[in-house]
Amino acid sequence: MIKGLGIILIVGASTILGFYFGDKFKRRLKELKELQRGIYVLKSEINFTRSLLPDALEKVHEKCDGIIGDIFLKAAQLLNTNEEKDVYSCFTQSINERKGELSLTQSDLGIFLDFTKSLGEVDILGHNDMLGLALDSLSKAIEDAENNLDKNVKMYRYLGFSFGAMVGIILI
Amino acid sequence: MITREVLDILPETIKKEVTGNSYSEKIQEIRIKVNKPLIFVGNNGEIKTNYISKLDDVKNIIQRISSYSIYAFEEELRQGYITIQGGHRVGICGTCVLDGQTMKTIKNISSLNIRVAKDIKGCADFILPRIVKDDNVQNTIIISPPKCGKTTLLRDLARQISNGKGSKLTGKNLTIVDERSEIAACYRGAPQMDVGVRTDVLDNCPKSEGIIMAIRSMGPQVIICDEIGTYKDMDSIVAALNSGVNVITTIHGFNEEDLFKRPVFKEIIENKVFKKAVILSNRRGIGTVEYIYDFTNGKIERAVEL
Repeated sequence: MIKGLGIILIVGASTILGFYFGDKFKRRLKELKELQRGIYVLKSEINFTRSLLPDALEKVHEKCDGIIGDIFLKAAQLLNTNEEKDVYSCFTQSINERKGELSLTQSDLGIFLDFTKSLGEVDILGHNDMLGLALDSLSKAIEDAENNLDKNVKMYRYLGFSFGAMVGIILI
Repeated sequence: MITREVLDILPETIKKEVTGNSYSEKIQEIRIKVNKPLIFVGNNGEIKTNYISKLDDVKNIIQRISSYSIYAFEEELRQGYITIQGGHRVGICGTCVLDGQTMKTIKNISSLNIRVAKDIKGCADFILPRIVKDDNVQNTIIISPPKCGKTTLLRDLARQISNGKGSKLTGKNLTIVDERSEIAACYRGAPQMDVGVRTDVLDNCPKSEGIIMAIRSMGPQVIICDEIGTYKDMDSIVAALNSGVNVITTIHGFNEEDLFKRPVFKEIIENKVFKKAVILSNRRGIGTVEYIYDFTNGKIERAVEL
């Protein structure tokens, strides 16, 4: 009886782990799409309304869900203190605070941080080029994330269940 | 007087210099140049401090005044200044970048001049009754050399005409066409100076276009603008008069003769567009009213210090 219960627990736990790791790919895709949406909003705020960067970032926060929106808001708050060296350091600080909750890869974060290096310091044309480049890179990252999602989600779920089942069989 | 808005844009090093001395109340200008001593200008001349400004100080100030958004100030940079909250103006110098013959932006910013804005309420008390007749504001031109208080006077006139002055003058709908954001000192479109309750401000708008826009859209009774001098400005002033709108404006000069000498003013002088000219100087301090000239009869009314 106890043995049976233990096996069920092991199979259940490893299946949940499999689902968790599988979902990480889903979360990455979702965060990348939120980031892409955020950059589109930022682009239009800069291009059409010429909003100041802290205001534009707050607008992005309003339009983006989850952690990505929060990162933009935190960066805006840091900019409003007028104490930070530049926009890049505000975003670095903002991302570092939430890094543990993010599913983005190091290369995704690289795309994110790269465009913040000259954010606010160039003219409108410069921003268009810079944000355009970031959007191109993000599109590729999204494509990559979609491929990984197709390949890996099912694999991790099956793997989780199979691992639990294997341990259960050994224990029997 | 140095206000919180000015202190907020200064890096700690310069802030210490400003606040840590006895003359901070009298500072009118803060001049910052890379690798040069920090200079304060007050009523009684300048004070050179021992602090040598650094490139980082200038960069830091630019970041703060633009809220890290230099793209949003392209037009202001083209004109060489940015107005900050409180109406204070930061003049900017560096390498000018040209696009053909037109100025595109300023790069390698190396010096800044922070001019502290101030309202002098009541400085138009002497002039106002002399340019108002039967509850109507007469077309008036203020003539003075630079730094004699033209804009300050214009601002107080706007405030008093807009608010009204008891039974002698009912409040008028007034539009300020503020081409260089000096009169109302707008920050994000909102006047930072008290320019009256019935005043609309077209900020950063060319005078010739602004006057016509105001007539079409805001229905003003009085239009105020600063430093006219082109044929297009004259055309728009005539258009305002034809629409029954009165105009108060300024030019650089020493007296009414400067108006007569310049061909651009020939038509408006011949047509007696302006009724009064107020001549300012700084002979007895900024804002000295030398006299008021009446174009209709050529009479001069001598005045006292503002």
